[in-house]
Amino acid sequence: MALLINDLCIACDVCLAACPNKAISAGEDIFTINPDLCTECVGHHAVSQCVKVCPVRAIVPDPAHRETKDELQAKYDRLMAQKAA
Amino acid sequence: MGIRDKLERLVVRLHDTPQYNSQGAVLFVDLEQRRTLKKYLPLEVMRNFLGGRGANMWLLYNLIQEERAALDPEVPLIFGTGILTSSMPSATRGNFTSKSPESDAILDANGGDYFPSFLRTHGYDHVVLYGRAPSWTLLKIAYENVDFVDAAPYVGMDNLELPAAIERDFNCTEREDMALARITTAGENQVLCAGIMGGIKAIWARGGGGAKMGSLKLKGIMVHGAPRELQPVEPMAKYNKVIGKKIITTSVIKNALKMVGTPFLYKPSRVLCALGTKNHQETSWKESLDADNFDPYRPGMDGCYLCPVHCRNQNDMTPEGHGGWGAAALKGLTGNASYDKAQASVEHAKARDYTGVHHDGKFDKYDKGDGPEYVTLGKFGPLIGIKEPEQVLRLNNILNDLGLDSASCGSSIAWAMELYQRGIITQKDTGGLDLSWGNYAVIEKLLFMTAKREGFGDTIADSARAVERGKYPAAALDYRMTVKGLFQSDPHDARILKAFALGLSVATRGMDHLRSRPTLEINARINDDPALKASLYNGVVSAKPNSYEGKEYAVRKCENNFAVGDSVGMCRFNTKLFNSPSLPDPGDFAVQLTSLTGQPFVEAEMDEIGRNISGIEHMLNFRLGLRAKDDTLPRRWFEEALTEGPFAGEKIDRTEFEAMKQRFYTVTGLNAEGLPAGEWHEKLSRLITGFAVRVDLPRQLPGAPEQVVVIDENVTDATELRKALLRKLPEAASDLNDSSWNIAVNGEMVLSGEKATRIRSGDRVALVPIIAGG
Repeated sequence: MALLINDLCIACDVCLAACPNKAISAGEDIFTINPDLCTECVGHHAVSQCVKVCPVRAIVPDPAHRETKDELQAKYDRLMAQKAA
Repeated sequence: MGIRDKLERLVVRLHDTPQYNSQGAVLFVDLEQRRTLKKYLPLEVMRNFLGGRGANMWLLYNLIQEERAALDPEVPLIFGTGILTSSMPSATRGNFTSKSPESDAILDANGGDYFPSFLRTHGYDHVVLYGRAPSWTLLKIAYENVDFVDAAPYVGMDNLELPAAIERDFNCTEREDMALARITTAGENQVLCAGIMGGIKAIWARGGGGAKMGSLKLKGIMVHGAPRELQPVEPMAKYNKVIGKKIITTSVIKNALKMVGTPFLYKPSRVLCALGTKNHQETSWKESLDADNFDPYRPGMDGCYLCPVHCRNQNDMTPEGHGGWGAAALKGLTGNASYDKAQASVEHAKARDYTGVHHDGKFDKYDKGDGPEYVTLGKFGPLIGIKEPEQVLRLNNILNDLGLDSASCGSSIAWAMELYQRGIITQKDTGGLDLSWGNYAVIEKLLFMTAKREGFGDTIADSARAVERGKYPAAALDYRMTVKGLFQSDPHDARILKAFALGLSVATRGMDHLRSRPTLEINARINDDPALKASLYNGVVSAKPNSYEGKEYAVRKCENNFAVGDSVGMCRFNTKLFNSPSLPDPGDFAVQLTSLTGQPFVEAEMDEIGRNISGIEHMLNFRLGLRAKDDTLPRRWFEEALTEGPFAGEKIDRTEFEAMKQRFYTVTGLNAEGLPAGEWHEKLSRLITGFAVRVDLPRQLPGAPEQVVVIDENVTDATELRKALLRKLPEAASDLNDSSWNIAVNGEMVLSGEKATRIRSGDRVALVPIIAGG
């Protein structure tokens, strides 16, 4: 599944640079993740980079966007193809 | 009594199970006999000294044999993580503690990156290392499993190569499922200014930890496996948001540390003409090293585990690299140039024009890396006469690979350069090296020679001990910028700022700003609000930077805050009073300590805990032979006045300084020799060793200005007590050996049979001269 930033977020921005998919953007109070761009780092890293760096553990699985590892890999392949095009 | 005997005695006081929620074990590691033992510290250690630095000191006090040399494997090297390390934003840190091989004081180095958090989440709060391994060893910790791995394949590797080799051999990735505290060839060669590395740049720098680890034949400590949560996130989560918000909304964090890192500090010191230059012969240097000159080479920032700041500026000078992160971030920040506000608007429009160290278009691995911090910028810039930012970057990257403490190594080179300038040493001594100020090529070469102890590098490797080891004549000591044998950590020349100077003189690990730096001494907003300033420091502190008035309160309060911060694992940059009055304070830490440990903590008790931690450090230093005379400053600062800037003519007045120092002792609760006084000393002794006997002396003796000595060794009888007194006060041996001084225990004179006279903790003993005459 994609990841979600909850309201514990302090908008510190360290997840921005860590995201290889550029799926994170600044919101008014908290940052947000675009589920269409989030692969949980599948294709890039063994662990989700934003989860790894979030100092307040505000990044959790998004229950509204449940995806298997295969689906995340397929999303990654699609994103890479779009990028290359 | 050897280390194993001391440990046997100590273990009786330890536990087999955790004493509070989230408590990690102490892992005792006998490297020589390849044995380990896991125990838990008593609850009262946490209640009175917290963890990390504080609990390290408790362990060291109980295990040290002060008469042994620092590099003796009987002297333990102790690592400790803060209690909140890995559980609170910016609490990423831990301390290595021992007796320093580099200085005359304790070794206590604080560092972050990922190792402390990984260790704590694997279930360990402390690792106590002793004994020399029979061959080079890598200690591998993976939760319950501890292995002694043959480190022969890694010997000779430096900081860039070693983690890559470990990742390859153990199929792991640093920072994801592996963290590593390690030494380089400099540590293997027992270079006294070598640190213990915790990442590409992260270093436990001060006091010679690399040499100490090398003396145990320990190449590194590897924590293998991804970190786990210590407990469900929920109990701490809401208040972690409060703490995180405090950090990231603080101006200096948001505008400076997150954008360019600590090099922002270069300009304010330069503008104040308080920048140590050419070994502090001068105090002002080139604008070319202002932080914006690094903009074109700064691709981004990096940070420690779960830190929202990411203050570590990266650098990349290669053709493939890019820069621009934080470009012009400091423009218009008048607080960053308070003594010449126009300087805040000055930008240098520095071009990205590096073409390789030899200007030939050739680049190597030292043309990119992490850093520099302000310390490295100052020590490898003005202090040794370097003015090109690219040269500072390259030296920074080499230092990181070689695992050298830039503060001590840079100061050691600056000392040598001044000796060379004055003719105290010549090219005959340097092996032909021209040590003229700013001679970049020689300095770069000298770093590699230092790590290998080759040629004149062997002298730099002896750091501040070069005279003691016969490398320089005694006259060289006049130009050695040390306190307690440790070179200054910070590039700032503290002849102006008297609280800063006091802090450097009384710092328990030697001349180091990180014990107390009272930055707000020159903060205009704070100085314009005397009531606020007094409340921040628990006393009235003069608004004048160069006044001595009330500065003792500033140092005391900062020492308390920072000792608590270190012991919970909080980064100094994000602790109240270091950079700002708005940052998280010990009251915030108390909230999270309560949540995590289940032990109730309140803000009011945190100050006393901070004082306890510095108290035990003063007691340790006393055992190492340090006295009030060692709480001083380099000769130059007393005798040579500043020649430029808004405070030209300023120096440290000896009389005023000594009076300020004694006031500091009084507000701290130290006696005139800098040792915890009276009942506080007895209380600390009971907490540390479980034993305290107050001995009243018939008169003041050297080292005992209160006419009192507290014996904290577990002696059993009056004969042993006499021996313990001699160990405690060797300078008073002739008096203490006076056979006409009888012993009285709890008011009862012992007229014979001292060996049979039992002594128990809590007894009151007096030495009583026999009345003679007729």
